[in-house]
Amino acid sequence: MAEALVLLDFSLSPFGVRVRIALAEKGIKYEYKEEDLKDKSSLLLQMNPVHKQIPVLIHNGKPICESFIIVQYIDEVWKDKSPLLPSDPYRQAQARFWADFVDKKVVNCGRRIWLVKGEEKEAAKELIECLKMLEGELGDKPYFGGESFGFVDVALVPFYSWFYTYETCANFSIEAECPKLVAWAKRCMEKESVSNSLPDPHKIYDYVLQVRKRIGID
Amino acid sequence: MEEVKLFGATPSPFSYRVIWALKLKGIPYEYVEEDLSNKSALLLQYNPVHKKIPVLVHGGKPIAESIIILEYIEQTWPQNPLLPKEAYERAQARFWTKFAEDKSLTFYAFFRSDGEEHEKAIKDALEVLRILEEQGLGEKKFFGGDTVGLADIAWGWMAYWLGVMEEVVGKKLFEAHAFPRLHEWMENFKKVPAIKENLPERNGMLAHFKRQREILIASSIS
Repeated sequence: MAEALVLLDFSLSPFGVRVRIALAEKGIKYEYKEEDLKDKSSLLLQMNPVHKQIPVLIHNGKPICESFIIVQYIDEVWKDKSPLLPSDPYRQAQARFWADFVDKKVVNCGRRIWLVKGEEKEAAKELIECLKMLEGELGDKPYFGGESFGFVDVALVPFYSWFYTYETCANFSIEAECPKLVAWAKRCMEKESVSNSLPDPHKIYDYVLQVRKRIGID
Repeated sequence: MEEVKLFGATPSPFSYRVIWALKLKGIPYEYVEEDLSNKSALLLQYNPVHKKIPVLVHGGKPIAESIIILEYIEQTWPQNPLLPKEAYERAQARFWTKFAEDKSLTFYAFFRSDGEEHEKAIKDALEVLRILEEQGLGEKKFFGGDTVGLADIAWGWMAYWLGVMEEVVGKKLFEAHAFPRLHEWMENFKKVPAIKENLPERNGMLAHFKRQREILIASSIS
């Protein structure tokens, strides 16, 4: 029932990509609505009055907001296919911890690289430290979820398409410093749910250049 | 049942979130008080990534980050549930819980700053209270409905810590008449036995926060 599910999103948003990957993993049909972030629809403002942000998943008219909360909701409702969170409570707590780490650290460092003038070198250094910690957590596993793609993989892989932007803004190579992590990302990209959901890295860079110009960094 | 240990630090509200959840579910545990100016080797071993309290250790395995600990406790000990069964209602509970996490910096800014930054923090904090009053609680007694839930525990600090913060800062942020629903929620929350019997001693808290604010203000000037 495609009409029962609507996703309000912005094509380049890594948070939106998380939701798109989760929906694709579960083979769920939905209607995609692209938002203009400079001119938000009345539907978005009505469905997410607190934050006025995408992504918002609308299921049978009822909104769910915040990417991790949406992904968990999807995982709980469509629990019979491709589970993303482990069922074991301790392993689930570990998955939540590392997903939270992505939000607290990777997102923050990434933003500082392209959004704050003069901070790119320091933020890039911190980003590498964070990615190395994630490499440590990944270890020899094919995915953060173990043998199968899971919650932490969904949390982090959208930022792979932002690597080109980070590297160009701060003049460094993520692959040189974190080869295991890039190998993991490429492995994820072999999955259709991921490769169909991640935007073109160059489109992201063009968008970032526009934003930087608009706010006066460039 | 495997041994449960909680590494915390009075009067951290993050510590108390975990204490409340354990008490509400009647889970016996050993409490270890950490000196945050001299963190134990054990804490650093259990939480090498953030090096913070609270950390719950269950059967020797550590879990860090208060809300993640609460979700773990909820899954492991299902009695006296903190989350609803229905998926959409769970998503709502998690939304208001996350809102508490996202906005803790706003209230921290109210506590630690002065001047222009302080004025902005007041404005932002009042907006948060307005959202909670009008959209968060609705007509419910608690965020969790008739009983205390995850979001109540996440916001619980406001029922007791906020008053102390206001006294230390010398400014009233929360007026009962401006936020009647929130006011009633705070009173109801503090009446719950597991909460009432597990609150830090007020004078000690006042002294602690007074010292903290002095240090923070001094370090922001230099």
